[in-house]
Amino acid sequence: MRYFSEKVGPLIELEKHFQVQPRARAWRWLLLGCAALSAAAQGVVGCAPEPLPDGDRRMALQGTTERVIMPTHHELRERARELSALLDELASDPATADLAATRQAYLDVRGPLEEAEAFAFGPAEDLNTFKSIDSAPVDTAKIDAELTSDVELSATQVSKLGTNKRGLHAIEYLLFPADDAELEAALLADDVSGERRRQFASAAGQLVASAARELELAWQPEKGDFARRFTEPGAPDSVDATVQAGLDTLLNQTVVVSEVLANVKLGKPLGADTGGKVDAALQESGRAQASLSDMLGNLRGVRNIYRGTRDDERVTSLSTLVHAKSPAADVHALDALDEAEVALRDLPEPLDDALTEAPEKVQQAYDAVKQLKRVLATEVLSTLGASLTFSDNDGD
Amino acid sequence: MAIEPASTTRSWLRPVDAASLAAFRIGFGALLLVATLRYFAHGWIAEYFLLPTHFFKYWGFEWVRPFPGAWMYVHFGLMALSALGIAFGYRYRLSVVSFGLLFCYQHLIDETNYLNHYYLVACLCLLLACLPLSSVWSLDARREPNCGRARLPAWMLWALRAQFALVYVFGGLAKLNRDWLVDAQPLGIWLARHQDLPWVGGWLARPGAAQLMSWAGALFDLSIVPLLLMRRTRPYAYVLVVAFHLTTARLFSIGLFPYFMLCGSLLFLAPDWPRRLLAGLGIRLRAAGDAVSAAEARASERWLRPALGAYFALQLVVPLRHWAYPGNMLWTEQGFRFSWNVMLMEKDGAVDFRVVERGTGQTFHVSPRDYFTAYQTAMMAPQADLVLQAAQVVARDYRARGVREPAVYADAFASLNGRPMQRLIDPRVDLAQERDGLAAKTWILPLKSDSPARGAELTENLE
Repeated sequence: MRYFSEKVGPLIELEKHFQVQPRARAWRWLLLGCAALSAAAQGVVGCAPEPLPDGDRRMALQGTTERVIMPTHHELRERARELSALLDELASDPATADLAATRQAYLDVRGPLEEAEAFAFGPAEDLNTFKSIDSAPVDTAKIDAELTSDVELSATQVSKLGTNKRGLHAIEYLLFPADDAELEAALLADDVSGERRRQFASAAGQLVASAARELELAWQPEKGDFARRFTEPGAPDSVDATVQAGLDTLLNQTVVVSEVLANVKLGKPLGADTGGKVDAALQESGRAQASLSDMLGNLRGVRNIYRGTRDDERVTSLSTLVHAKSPAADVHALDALDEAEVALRDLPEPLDDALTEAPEKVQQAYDAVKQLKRVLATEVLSTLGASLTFSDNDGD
Repeated sequence: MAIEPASTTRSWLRPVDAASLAAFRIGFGALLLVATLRYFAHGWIAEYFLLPTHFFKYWGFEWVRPFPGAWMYVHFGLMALSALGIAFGYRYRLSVVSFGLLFCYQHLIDETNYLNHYYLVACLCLLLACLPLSSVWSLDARREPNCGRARLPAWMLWALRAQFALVYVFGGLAKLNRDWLVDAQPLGIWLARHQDLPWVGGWLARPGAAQLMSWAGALFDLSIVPLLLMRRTRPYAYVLVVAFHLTTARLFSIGLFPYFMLCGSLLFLAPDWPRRLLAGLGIRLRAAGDAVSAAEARASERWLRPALGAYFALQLVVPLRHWAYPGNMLWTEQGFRFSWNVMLMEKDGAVDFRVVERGTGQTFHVSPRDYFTAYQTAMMAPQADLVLQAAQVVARDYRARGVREPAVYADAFASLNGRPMQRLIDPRVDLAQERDGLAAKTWILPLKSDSPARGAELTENLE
């Protein structure tokens, strides 16, 4: 306790000095200084950002939106419209319909759809787009029950069904009857059963096209104007307060998609969480044998967001931002993307065959995608100072 | 009854104006109220206490659990009422003790919610519970005028000053490391995020800005206490305090921390500053009572010495305990919490588990997201002790599923202050067999690069 008398004691003596009335001038200084600082801080903090020369981060956000997100949504809308038109033709005139073309149209929709999962935020969440278009697995028993009932199979009626009974995977169930020749015959059959199948597929196709159209429009100025609100932060109707928050959103979604790709799309059929019990039925697009192309679509979406483009040109993007801070981190991210793609392309198609014939290659692809997720979630996030924005809680 | 002791022999018992302590009580209570209401406004009560199915426990507090359903809302409602009680000085002791207990309980529920300023709040509640800060400008003083005291012993003011001084000084000492001073990290990363700020954005993104602000930040933390204590520098120092904390509030997502510090720094001004400020505005408040009597002061001294001595000795030792552990504290995080390591690192992690049944060798790949919320997972991944807890949750679950003797291995990676990611935990160590505690965790792998700049040059050997 000597500590108190010897150390604190003299300090407390200082208090005698502190109790002396400070000079009025000092008080004025203090108050004026605080007021000036508060005003200055409010100026910086409170005002909406003034238009600034385009910094790299703003350019990356705008460029990625214009070069990747909006064209992908447009392509998705166009492909979905084409599929819907072909399904309508199939329903109205099955005798002349080109079933092979319709099936190809189905596969063509999945490309931009899987890419778009890498930026499934904002309107995609608000409109529930991906649940509505791409819920898997579908409840085939319930779909069969609808087909055998006498309920009208219009788009309005089908839209009232749960998302696991409509969408692209319901169309897949009807269009790609696996090896069952009877089912294929049933689709083209000139009877009530065949007619109802085609009506159901047509209605589901219209709903997919409608959802894709709604998604694209939500980003356009004439409807939701989300692209402007997303890329011009700080305005009263902006999505975010800062450019960085928008970039964080892009980055976070790439991490989420990489994780889903590894843990769900590859890991589930591989039996990663069941002790190695392979179960091909757990793949996403087994009937259409499109599981691998789905995964490559996801990966393409992640790469497009990271590189800010859908082609190979070098543009201001998350990649260049990372490169500017840490060239090594950018190299690691691009390498991880390449290695994941090579590993996926190395798998024999379809995934069923890969799972039975080359499970070690599926494991390698699983590891490569895991590595991609790690690089994105650690080095890339850390280099840009982004956080996995699952919460708006405070730091420190 | 309250008689001014003509000459108090001990300067630390000498009465000082209680006005600044009362102002602190009012400001602190108001901030606690805002902090509590933010939980309602942001939906954090459900997010942090009702949605998770598993929680990360503090060592020794494994028994703390969230209350079911609406009871957590009741819990926070009581916290809000207690905060009001503190601000208004209504049944002050009851209010501050109840707030402290309720706050600590919710804070102890899940270790992923740890924040330095939550710890500061807990410390302040403990101190405030010992101090009669409702002696002036309070409903208690109005209700029971005999208990009112216009002046309180100086040690009460100094105890609170010391608490805030510890935050600044240890916060400054923690910045005396290579990452902060030489490589200007993590500020280099964080400031570049603010390119689009008006006027200053372009400047903030420059490397020199991070370097300058890193040095300025460390200098501020280390020097602000003496600058506030010296009469000549005090007004300028407080202007600096306002500038510093408003800047950090704007640039970093640190919630109410800057405001707690702004409020606490007012304690370093002359004890009668609120009275003179109000007088300057033409407001004169009647002070109830006078000063603590000599007898009261001496009575409090009997328990004051050992209690305060033990408390502040602990406060000095706890932040230094990281020296007892090997390795870079920012990487291992051993001795990191409760040490005023504020704004020191940008650290992100990713973790997956492998569960191996010893008898059969059967391997299960497990994502932590199967057990924890996305927020918990993101917070847990870069912190080795939390990864250990997560691994043991997984082990318990697999035992319950019938897997005999499950061994749990972590593929845990992290990136610190812009370094390339590397393994955080030895992947060969069965975490199901490890126990948490105060001993050094030998299964944490050493940080490979001592500098973010050097680390950034590495382009190979990610593991």
